[in-house]
Amino acid sequence: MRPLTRLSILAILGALVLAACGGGEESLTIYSGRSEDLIGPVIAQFEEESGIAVEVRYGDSAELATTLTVEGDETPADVFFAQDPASLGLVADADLFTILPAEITGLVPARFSDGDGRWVATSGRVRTFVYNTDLVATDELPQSIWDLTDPSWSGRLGIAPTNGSFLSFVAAMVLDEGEERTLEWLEAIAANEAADYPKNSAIVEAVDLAEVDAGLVNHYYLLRRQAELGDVAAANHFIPAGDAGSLVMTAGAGVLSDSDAAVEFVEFLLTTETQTYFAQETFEFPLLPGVDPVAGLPPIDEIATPDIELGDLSSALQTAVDLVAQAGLV
Amino acid sequence: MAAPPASAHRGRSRLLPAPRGLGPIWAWVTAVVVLAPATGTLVWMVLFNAGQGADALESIGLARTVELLGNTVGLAATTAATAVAIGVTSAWLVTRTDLRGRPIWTVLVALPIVFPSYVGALALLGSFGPSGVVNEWLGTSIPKPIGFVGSWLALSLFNAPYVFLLTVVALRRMDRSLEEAARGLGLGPWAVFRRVVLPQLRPTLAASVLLVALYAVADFGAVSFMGFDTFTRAIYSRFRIGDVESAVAIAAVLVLITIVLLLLVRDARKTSAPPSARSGREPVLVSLGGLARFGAGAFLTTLVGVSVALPTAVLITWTLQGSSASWTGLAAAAFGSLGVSALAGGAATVVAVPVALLVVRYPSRWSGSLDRVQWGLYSLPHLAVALALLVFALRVARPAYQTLALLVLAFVTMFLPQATGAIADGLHGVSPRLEESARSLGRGPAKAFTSVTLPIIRPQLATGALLVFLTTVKELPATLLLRPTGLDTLSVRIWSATEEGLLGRASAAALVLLAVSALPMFLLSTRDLRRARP
Repeated sequence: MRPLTRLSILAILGALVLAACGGGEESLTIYSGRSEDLIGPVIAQFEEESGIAVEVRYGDSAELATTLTVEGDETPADVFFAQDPASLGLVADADLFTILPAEITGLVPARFSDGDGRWVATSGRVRTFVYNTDLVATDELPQSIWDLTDPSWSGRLGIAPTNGSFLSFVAAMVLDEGEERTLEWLEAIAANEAADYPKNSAIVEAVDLAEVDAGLVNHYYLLRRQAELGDVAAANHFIPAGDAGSLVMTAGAGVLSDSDAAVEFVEFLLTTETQTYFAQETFEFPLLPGVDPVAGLPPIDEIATPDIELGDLSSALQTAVDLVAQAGLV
Repeated sequence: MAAPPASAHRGRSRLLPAPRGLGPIWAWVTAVVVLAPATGTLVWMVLFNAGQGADALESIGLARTVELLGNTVGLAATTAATAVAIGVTSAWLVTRTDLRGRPIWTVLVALPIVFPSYVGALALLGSFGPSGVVNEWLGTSIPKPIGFVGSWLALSLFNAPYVFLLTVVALRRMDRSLEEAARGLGLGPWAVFRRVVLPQLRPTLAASVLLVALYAVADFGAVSFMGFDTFTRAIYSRFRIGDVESAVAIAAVLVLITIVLLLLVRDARKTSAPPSARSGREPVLVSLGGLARFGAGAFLTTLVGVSVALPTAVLITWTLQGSSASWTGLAAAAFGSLGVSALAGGAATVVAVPVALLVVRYPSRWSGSLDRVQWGLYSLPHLAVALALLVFALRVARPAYQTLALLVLAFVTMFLPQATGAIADGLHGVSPRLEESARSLGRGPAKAFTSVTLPIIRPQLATGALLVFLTTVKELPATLLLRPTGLDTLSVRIWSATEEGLLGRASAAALVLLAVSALPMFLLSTRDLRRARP
């Protein structure tokens, strides 16, 4: 039966070659670090309104950004839509984005986007202090992230030290207060025996269930939990000191090819319609003036975020990872 | 396929020498074509980034590196020991005793194989702690199993079925006349197991230990949910900040761990089981006494309860409770998962036959290296292998980038030992003299192999394909990185929903994953495993 074995090998090789030669149809390809659960409806709406066929590759923002840097000019992607500025910065630093038209970048406040117009912010996600309303008294609420280094918080905090947005928060702290102070803060948090969680949603759950008293997360996880379960025993507190504790991180998009459809898509993300979707359905902060956030959230201008360039976050990320490890948090 | 006449074994023909030399060229070509892209690229990446790797390890610190190493090795060792104990005990119970409902137990014990380690970990976490599903039912306050305990529990429970499947096949193929003779000479069931069965199981056990230990080394899902630090986590964190070079260089350390493990179990794997002779009559089963019967029942009930019923119940609860649960798009994702995994299972089996043949029948320095390469690739975090293939496609085979073919190649590259392990195990049980007899009757070497040996090892071929299918269906990192844009799979959906904290939606997808995997598993475990009976 020797020919049969040969045949099967040939069949595999043949399939490899055939599959390799497939594809090549014209369409807009988006690498989305935002999940299909959140963005699927936006994509469908864009396809319907523009008549452009869209292919979306969903993935993790950081992993897609790294993939894009490996792909370089060979990338099939026209647009990179990421959920954090650090991932966008990584791609911008690799010189892969084209410059967006000023009438698009001008739609949102300049401080949220890349200074050079390589990517534009599309919605705001804010770091927050989530606390169990039965376990934390109002007068205990931290006025600065440094309040959390106090021994009174020992054993009461939950953090997600490997999570991308926690690392962005640490990177912002590095840019805002310097490496030394950041390490000092991280070591104090480690000394306070902060509990280690894999992700933001797990912290919010733990706070709601009184497993820990409070945690450092992004603001919308609590709102989603509320929407899913109804009553929760937890609330968000935006730390008012203007430090990284209330860092405004933006989701954003940049264009990787010279496709007009790509620019059209980015513009679509900043229409009143899409911004309202982000506000009402994903509970993020809309960035287009005139669109309000969901009830219960303050306007984004009232949140005291540190004065740093969001595009620089990626450059401080390596330091953040090292410091978190050095402090013994991972 | 009908078993060959028993007399074929005993005709100890010495007309032809035992196979010797490097082995058939077509086998080598297949092995190299499949494994070279990932291996070559990884070696290239490590060689050209050794400096950065040293920097990366330095920035982690020596104490930290030792700690990560200790965690990784400790988790692998305890997980392997536990999974082997569970897998072998349950396999013996369903093949050698008169326990009632053995066919049903066989399916149930194998079933947890369908849970991805991250779903298993999630379900364990959701069962305990405040408002844990189990605690709410029973009114208990069992704490959440986190850190080492949680990782060990999740990886042991959801890897034990791999050991179980391999062992069931081996036990069913084993020559029972030896056991019956031992019992005739007055040995009790335990003594028979220890002195007759266990020695024959050695290659299976060695393959199982490797399979489970290396899976634990490469795992990311369970350890990340349980918050336990292993080497894989360091690699992921490098990759996520764009430091590809360091990630790959750190991965080289994992290859070293693999080689050490391979050396440790080398002797066990070399010992080949004697060829099985098949007596035509029904074997005598060990009759369990009252207490033993109760114990066995309690053991299997607890095992299935914790590893099947509990996670399923948690998933159903979340699906029903969560307002985010949604079934739209799940059919397409299920179809995607099914198609890709079936391709991977089939392709891996076709490739595994020549690889297993070389490793078992033509021992040499070269086939030894081939064996180490395939296990090395298996033990690497999927991310590292996927990345190597991504770089390979971009630099060398651009048209293959983001194609189904490349994705399937990745799965074959990563999971090959699951198929070769099963097939090698089968080959150990088939005397080369059978083929020699066929050749002395005028058949060519390849014809003798395909017409005599392959039919005998059909159960192992099925087991191998099944294992690869079930592992592929749950795979995540390589699927995310290499899949054709637009291809939706269940694991991607579960990941995406979990990432957003939409537990209801994630659970709905996980339940479909369970269904997709359970059907082929049920068919195979009832049909092909039974076929392995004498």
